[in-house]
Amino acid sequence: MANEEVFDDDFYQEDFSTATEWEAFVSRLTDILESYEVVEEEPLSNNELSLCEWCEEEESIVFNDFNLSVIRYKAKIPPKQEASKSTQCQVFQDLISIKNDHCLLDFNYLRHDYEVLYAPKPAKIHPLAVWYGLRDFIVLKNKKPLHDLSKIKLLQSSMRISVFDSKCNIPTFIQALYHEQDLFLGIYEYKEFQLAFDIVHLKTPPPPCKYLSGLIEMFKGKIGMAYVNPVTVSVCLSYSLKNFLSAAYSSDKKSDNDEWDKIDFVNVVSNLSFGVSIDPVHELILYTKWPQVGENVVFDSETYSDFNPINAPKWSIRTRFDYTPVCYLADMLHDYLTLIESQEALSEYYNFLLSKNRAGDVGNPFAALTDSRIPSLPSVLNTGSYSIDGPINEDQMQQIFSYLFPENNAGKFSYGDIQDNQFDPQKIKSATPDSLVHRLSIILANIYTSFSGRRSVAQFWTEFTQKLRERVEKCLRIPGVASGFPDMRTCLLHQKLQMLNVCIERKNIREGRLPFAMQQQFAQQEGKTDSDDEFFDCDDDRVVDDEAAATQSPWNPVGRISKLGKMLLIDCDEPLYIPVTQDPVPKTEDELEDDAEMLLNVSDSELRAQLMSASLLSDMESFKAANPKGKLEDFIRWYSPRDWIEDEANEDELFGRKGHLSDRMMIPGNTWQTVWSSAKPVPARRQRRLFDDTKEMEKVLHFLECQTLGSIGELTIAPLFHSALIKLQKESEETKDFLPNFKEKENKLKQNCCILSREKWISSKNVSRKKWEAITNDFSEWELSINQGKSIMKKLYQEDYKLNDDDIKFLNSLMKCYDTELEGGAKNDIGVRVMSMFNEARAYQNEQRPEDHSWSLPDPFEKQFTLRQFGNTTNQGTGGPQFMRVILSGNEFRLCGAFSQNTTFVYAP
Amino acid sequence: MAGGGDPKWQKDAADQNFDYMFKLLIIGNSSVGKTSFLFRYADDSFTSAFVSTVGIDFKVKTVFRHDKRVKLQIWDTAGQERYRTITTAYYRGAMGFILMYDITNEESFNSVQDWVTQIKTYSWDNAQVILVGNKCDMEDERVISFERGKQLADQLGVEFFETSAKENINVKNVFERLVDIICDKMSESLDSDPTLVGGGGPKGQRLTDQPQGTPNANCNC
Repeated sequence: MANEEVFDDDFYQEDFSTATEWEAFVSRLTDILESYEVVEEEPLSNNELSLCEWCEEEESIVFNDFNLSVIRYKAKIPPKQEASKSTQCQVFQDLISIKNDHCLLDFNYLRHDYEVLYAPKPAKIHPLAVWYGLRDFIVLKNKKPLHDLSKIKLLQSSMRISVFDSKCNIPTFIQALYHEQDLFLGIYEYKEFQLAFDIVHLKTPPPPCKYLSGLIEMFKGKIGMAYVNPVTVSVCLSYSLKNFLSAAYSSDKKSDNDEWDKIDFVNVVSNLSFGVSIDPVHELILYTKWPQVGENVVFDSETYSDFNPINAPKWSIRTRFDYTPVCYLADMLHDYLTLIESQEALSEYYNFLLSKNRAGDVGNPFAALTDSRIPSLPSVLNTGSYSIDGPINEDQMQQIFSYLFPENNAGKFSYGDIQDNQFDPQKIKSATPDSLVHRLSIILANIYTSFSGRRSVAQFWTEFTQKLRERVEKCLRIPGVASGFPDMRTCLLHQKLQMLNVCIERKNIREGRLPFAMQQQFAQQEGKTDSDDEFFDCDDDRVVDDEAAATQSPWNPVGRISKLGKMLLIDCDEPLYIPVTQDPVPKTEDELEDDAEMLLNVSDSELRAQLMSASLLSDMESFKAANPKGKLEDFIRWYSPRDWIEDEANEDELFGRKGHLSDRMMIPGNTWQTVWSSAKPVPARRQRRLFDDTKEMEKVLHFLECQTLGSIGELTIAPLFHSALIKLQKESEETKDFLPNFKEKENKLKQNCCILSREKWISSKNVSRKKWEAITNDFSEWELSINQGKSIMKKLYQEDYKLNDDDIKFLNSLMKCYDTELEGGAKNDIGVRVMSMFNEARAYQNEQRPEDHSWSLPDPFEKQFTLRQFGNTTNQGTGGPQFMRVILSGNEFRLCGAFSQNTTFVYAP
Repeated sequence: MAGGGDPKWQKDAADQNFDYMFKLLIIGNSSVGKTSFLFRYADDSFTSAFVSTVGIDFKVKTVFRHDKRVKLQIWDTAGQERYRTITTAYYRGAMGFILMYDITNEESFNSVQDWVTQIKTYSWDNAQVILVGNKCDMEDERVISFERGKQLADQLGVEFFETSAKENINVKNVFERLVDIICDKMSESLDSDPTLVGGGGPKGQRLTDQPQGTPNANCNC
């Protein structure tokens, strides 16, 4: 500003050209208005203003006790393909266009300050855009509400001057009175036309303004000149439906403790609940519209109205959601996380777990150990009749375990194919869906959150570990666990159970019983072989006849699998045999971490090599046993072929015998040589076991028995969330096509579950728990959205209706709370359903039978009339646009006018 | 991670000498030079013959990257088929892999695809891989051209270097590049999803404590 520059300069003590403060204010305002650029854009399409994004530019001016913000609101209209820019004034066009009518944003709804987390945040749209359909305008807003009329006048005239001086081509408004009243006064100038915007806001309408006839009269009176064309009227009547009765949607949840006896216990605890406590669709709004009628063809007064909603040419509906219902699944996940805080040990509930000698307390499970060499497959399910006192009664417990451990894995609770070899980069570190670990997690979550809390968890887990012990002792496979070694891509609990199975299987085979795959076959009398099962290595049978020989002489070969190609030993003409070796050692991830840790703590590399050499020694001993005349060179040729360098010269040597060890194998005293020299010819069978299944078994059982309640929660959280995710995917089957951002939400949730499941659990400060808690919010949001979709479906469609593409578009729009058109109005199928819902609600209210349906709607909660006039006047040449929108609702009357004047006539003498 | 996210790897309570710790794995067929490569990098030494690795071994080196001390725990694996079960168990939690072949050995190059499958199967998807053709000093015995190596790397979507542990060519570069891409990936994944970072905990505490029962384990994958 000019005067500021002057003050900066000491030389000019007084600046006589400086204007008054007011003039400075006006000039500043003019500067701001001048700085706005106006771009001519294409005509607006239907509803565009409510769907597009808006941008705001804000400047502030202080003048006396005014503290003004000058805000420019501008819709970001994407350029359209068919560039049909008109030469007419954009503001006039927007005002007059009926396409741009009833700006279809749910404005009343938006004004509620919905603080609820998941409510969609619709683009904020200024009421001026809603009422006038303006795409670009400026608002002067004082920090404090302007009540003083003289102040308003002062501001108004300042604005006039600025608008005039800056030749600002954007409608400019002042906001007056209380801000929440949304009262504005505005002006706009275009060529010879001056447009005055004026808003009236009252609690109740003056009687003549209640009906169209009176309004038209008032409109004409205000214009004060006659136009050739009649006034064009647009009408919209809005109806609200909140009482859905038979179309209401809700989900029942069984949670009362005393009802648990009466219901199918297993069915309840084994399923995740899903649903919402109240109908998420709070309200359905029906708009009946007459987009364009001439004033002379309709009549609307207190006694008679042409506007019968049933005959309205356009119908549209909108949903309003309630964002507060409890979502059962997410709620349960959230609750379950509180279990993790518990530091209680199982032994605090069941102290027999503490005493080593448990035999007396628990019905002597160890007795089973002593006579566990029963070759047949006994049913243990009913034999373990000891009971652990707790909130879950014996019958319920039995039900649970016949679900978790279905006998022979048959019957209605049998496990499906739980082998999962699919590669999925987003795999959740949990277990296969509907595997034992998943079932277990769901049961735990159910009994914890809606049965008897921690006590039932303690009781159930104790029972579970006892059942495992029993199965282990009877050498019964644990069902519902993927076969094979512990899979690090699954959760720790699953790995532990896999480990148990490995141990049970090894023990079984050691004791001369059939491997699991064959047992199962036998038990189920099925022809199909489970070829995936690679537990069992039948080699022992093949080498059995060596047994006698081995005892006779140490030089007799034992434990051969097969010849290695055509290879011969280097020092004699005997073939080189691949030996039977000990199976690799299975490890769960925590054991592996301990191993790694141990290695990391050994600073000497050679010592580490020694630690690692146990399996090398075992293999070398097996090799020596199978190839009594074999040398280290022969071993290397089988074990590490690249360390055997063949001589190229000997082309006649067919058996690759001429050659030498690589340099590294010849380093004096290297691990390979030292281990070889200490290796004795002992077949794998007779070696010290690298893997002690008995010890390992006890280790796993001990691990499970020593969990605190909190750590039980940690072990099961990933499988539980995984199951929950699958549950939501299943529940969303019928609605997913139209739920907004469904794929993104699903992916985000999956990804987050995946990341968290792979992260190490951090218990201090509850870091991990809080992260899981954070994603329960996403679950909640998703669950709610699925229920919203289901609720809308229930209201508007027949059951089992197959959605077509148009339905999907329609539903998607409703999900976004948009005003959504019903083609054909009352004749539309959905229109008919809507009508019948209104009728049902009315009948309910009047306690009438619903059969009495004379198709009618209740009183509208809002009426909107928009009156427009433009074109030539009868005697004053071309007239400017005249616009008036009237909004009549129960507690509000609003009149928004924009009246133009042709200034040529006003100022002409 | 200059301006990047929170440390994914929290320092060990006992060891205050680093800001991050990355676990890296060197894999590839037997005798392609994995141990030599690691010794060259960690100790700057070279011998024509290192004892063939039995099972798995490791070395630790701390480097500076973007003003941060990064402790590298580099696991050196035995390439022999027989050791697959042992070594693949260590894949989990590795943030980077150096997949090595020997440019003088066709077979080791042909096995690259198998190794990639192993990585995919046993590691998590966010592990970074660099393909390395070692022994590039032995030009006379070369059977795999640079172009073939490069082409395979492009096909696999990984970066590629030819190196020589003997002549100390590109050894350091490989490790530095791997550390860089791990850092990039890390800050990227943190940027893309802020909801999971912090989780209510203070900044920089993505991993604050060791879980009970597995003391001092640094892997969080």
